Amino acid sequence: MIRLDNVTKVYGTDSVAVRDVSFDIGKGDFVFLVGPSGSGKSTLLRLMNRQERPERGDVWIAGRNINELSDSRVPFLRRGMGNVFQDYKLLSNKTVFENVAFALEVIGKPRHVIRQQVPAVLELVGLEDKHDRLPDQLSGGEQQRVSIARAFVNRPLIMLADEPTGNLDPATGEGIMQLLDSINRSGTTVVMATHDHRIVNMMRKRVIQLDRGVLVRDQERGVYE
Amino acid sequence: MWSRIAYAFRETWASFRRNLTLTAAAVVTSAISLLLVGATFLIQRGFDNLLVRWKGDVQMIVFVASDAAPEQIAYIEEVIKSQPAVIDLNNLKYLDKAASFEEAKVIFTGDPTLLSLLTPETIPTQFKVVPLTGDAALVRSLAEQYRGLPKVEGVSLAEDEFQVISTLSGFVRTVTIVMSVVLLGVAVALIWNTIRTAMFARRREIEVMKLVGATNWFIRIPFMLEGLLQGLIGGVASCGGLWALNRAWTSGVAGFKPGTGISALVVPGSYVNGVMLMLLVIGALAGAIGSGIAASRFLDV
Ligand SMILES: Nc1ncnc2c1ncn2[C@@H]1O[C@H](COP(=O)(O)OP(=O)(O)O)[C@@H](O)[C@H]1O
Ligand SMILES: [Mg+2]
Repeated sequence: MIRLDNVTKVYGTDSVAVRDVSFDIGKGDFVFLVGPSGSGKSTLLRLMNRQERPERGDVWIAGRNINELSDSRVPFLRRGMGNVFQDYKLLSNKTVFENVAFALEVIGKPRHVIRQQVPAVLELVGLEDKHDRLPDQLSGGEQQRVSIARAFVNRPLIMLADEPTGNLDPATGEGIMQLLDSINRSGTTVVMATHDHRIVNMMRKRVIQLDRGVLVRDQERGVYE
Repeated sequence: MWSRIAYAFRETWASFRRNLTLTAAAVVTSAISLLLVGATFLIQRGFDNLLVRWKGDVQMIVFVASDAAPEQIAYIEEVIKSQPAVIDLNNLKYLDKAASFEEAKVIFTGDPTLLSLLTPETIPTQFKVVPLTGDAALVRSLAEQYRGLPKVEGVSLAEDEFQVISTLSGFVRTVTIVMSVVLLGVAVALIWNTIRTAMFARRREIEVMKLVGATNWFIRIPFMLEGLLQGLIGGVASCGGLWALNRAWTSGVAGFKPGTGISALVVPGSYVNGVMLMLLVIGALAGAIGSGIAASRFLDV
């Protein structure tokens, strides 16, 4: 589903964020990208949805080399991928319902589809009674659920999560992990960047570890070392 | 489809209200610049009316009485053609009664009294003469010679009528064109700036839109609509201004004594309407294209 071949990403002229990284992630896998701050986790995620392009190497998504994709095709690549961030990236002037609906609206989904899919996904993340709240009337964990609902409402093949528990207390973080786990069980490939030892050790999923942009470990059912 | 259109209009309207001051500045500037563009066209058209009979390097016009017999006209033509070294025979033109009447209608648009006295039957016909020589004295002596021919009613020389107006026309044209281009540039810059501000205000939304796979066109269109609307409102305002200006001018000219030639500076209403339509189109296009380019530029931020 996701394959990187000898990918190198350099910012500016000499700041190497990712150096010669290769791995292959199968359909339906759950993978942790781990490593200290600045080791290149976010950069790897951004390479997977063409927010960045590598200096060397290829990124393959669902059998297509996305570096060869024309700019006008990139939106359609992204419609098959959900993104979740540490800071949620919710729109503060829109309600919970509107935030999720927005993701369908701007890719031109008709209103009857929106009316049907948004409540369904909000129920899935456990926010069925909070449709009309604004983001700042929600707890951090609830806000992250809204952002997961927005990422998942279009039923993407792939979910990219960048430190989704980074701003949450442990108990709330666990709830978010259960949600991502159930999304994964429904068949969605999940790639999650984190430096949260506890969560990695609890989940026992495949671990890809980075150190200063270099892949140093790729282990099934791994723990955070 | 409907949801997309509704979305675009909702966003445009919200953005308009958010940036009211900037929007107002952009609209006012585009109105003024478009007004100037329109005025340039009207002034130019006025001068063209004055100059229409001198088009194509014509330096001398020999007016022939309307009751001249064909042989008499042929004789005049023969005399003119007898000097091929001085006169450009290829460009020698004869305007018969119908053609002369058409020309008079342009020249005397603003002078209906005079125009009503003219009919296709009573109007003098004309020979339009393009001399090969630059020697003004020689041309003048030719004119004297033609004046003596039977059935020649008069001879007009460009030197006497045309030079001053022509120079003035060129000067006014340069000034107004330069000013309108500069102002149009300022208007586009202001629209550009409002779009940039609007996009900055909505950068979070744009970021999310890009992440969930909205196309660049989808993101761009509300902003282009906003620019188009600004240009169009500017265009409407400039049309109002132009209309008022033309009205004041027309009634001012009517106050002049008939027959002074000033009446030629009046522009027909159909032409004014054409110019106003053009201003609307220019305003809308400049706004839409300017903001479209701006939106593309800032879409990467
Ligand atoms: N937009 C950028 N411009 C320049 N350098 C960047 C940029 N993004 C990341 N970097 C650098 O690339 C390296 C990896 O960053 P990042 O991928 O964000 O790591 P992580 O997510 O593991 O903390 C860091 O040294 C960071 O400073
Ligand atoms: Mg990061």
